Amino acid sequence: MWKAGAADPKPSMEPSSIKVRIAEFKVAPAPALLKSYGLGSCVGVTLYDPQLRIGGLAHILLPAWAKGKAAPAGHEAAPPKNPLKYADLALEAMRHDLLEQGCAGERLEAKIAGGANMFSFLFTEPAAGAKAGIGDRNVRAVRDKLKRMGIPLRAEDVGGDQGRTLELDTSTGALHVTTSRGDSRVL
Amino acid sequence: MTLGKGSIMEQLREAHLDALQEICNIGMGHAATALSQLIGQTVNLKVPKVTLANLDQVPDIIGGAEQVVVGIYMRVYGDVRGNILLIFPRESAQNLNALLTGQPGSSDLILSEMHASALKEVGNILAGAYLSAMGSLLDLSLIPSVPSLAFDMAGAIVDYILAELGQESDVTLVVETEFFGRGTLIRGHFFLLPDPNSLKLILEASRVESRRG
Repeated sequence: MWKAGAADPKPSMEPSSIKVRIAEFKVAPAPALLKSYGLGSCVGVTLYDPQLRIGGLAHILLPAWAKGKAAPAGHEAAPPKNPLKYADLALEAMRHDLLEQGCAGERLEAKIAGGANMFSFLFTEPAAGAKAGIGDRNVRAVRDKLKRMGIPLRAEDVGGDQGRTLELDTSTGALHVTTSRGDSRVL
Repeated sequence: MTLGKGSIMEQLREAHLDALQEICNIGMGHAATALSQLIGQTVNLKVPKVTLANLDQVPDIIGGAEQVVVGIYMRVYGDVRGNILLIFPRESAQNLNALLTGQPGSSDLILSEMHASALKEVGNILAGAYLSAMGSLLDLSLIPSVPSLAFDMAGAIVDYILAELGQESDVTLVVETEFFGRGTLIRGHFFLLPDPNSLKLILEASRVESRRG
């Protein structure tokens, strides 16, 4: 069993609301609210262990990290300076953190929201043809990575043309999604 | 700042920023003149501030990720490629709309077709003036695309651009400026986000020696 204080290296007062910025993830036991504001093409991913009531929220900027692309010709790519902006690396790091806190890998459940296309039409490079928007690619990369990690995807609210603010309640695992138009739903 | 490592953005130094600042002053000056002509009254401009910011700070620079803003996005084509993003806080966009259309902007979260189109035109004119000033200064051909507009949370509006940049770098160039017209404050943020290779070209054209460490 997870014991109070064991997972939190800072014995200070537990913040009720924790902000998760771009290319960052935060993990917290109940009771806590993990919040990410204004996601457009970014994707927010929550991983939650309902038994221990510990959850994490990752704010992902980019699809999977492409090893070869980053390196100049003839050089081996160094690991990216900020791995947490990439879907695959952020999810691995967040799961690692959750497992360290005592969560069981097979209990983890995922929810995702975001991946919008904010501008009604975006300009694709003529040479590149019609490639999918970054939002779509982020969502696909996240789904793909979750599948490979064997984490079930319980709910999702993705796409569209509106920004979203996310709030994970680690007491229940509920993911609250609100838009600037005031629509809100609970995943 | 680590020298000789990382992307071109990460190698930028004070001297480079000064050169870019100078280019931006001239470009934004032209943009303010163009805006004055559009709205038929003098528009004053605060000297733009050019800064390098970490990608994750950008939503805070423009007032916080959740603040509702108008974003006008244009792609830059020609010798230099990149993105231009103009951000107007909600109130400034409404003030600007009132000046342009003579009708007070609604406080709704949906812009009327006319207001959206007027703001896009502003984007077009500002970007066009800015790019042509910069282009003639540096002897480069710079052409803005048709503008695209979004009215939403600031974080959501910039993250597409951050994603584009994030593939190459963890920092970006931000040009921050304020316009004033007939006592109405119109604050705007102007993001000029050259693709990394294009930034190199701009710096070379501005004769700043891009010394690599």
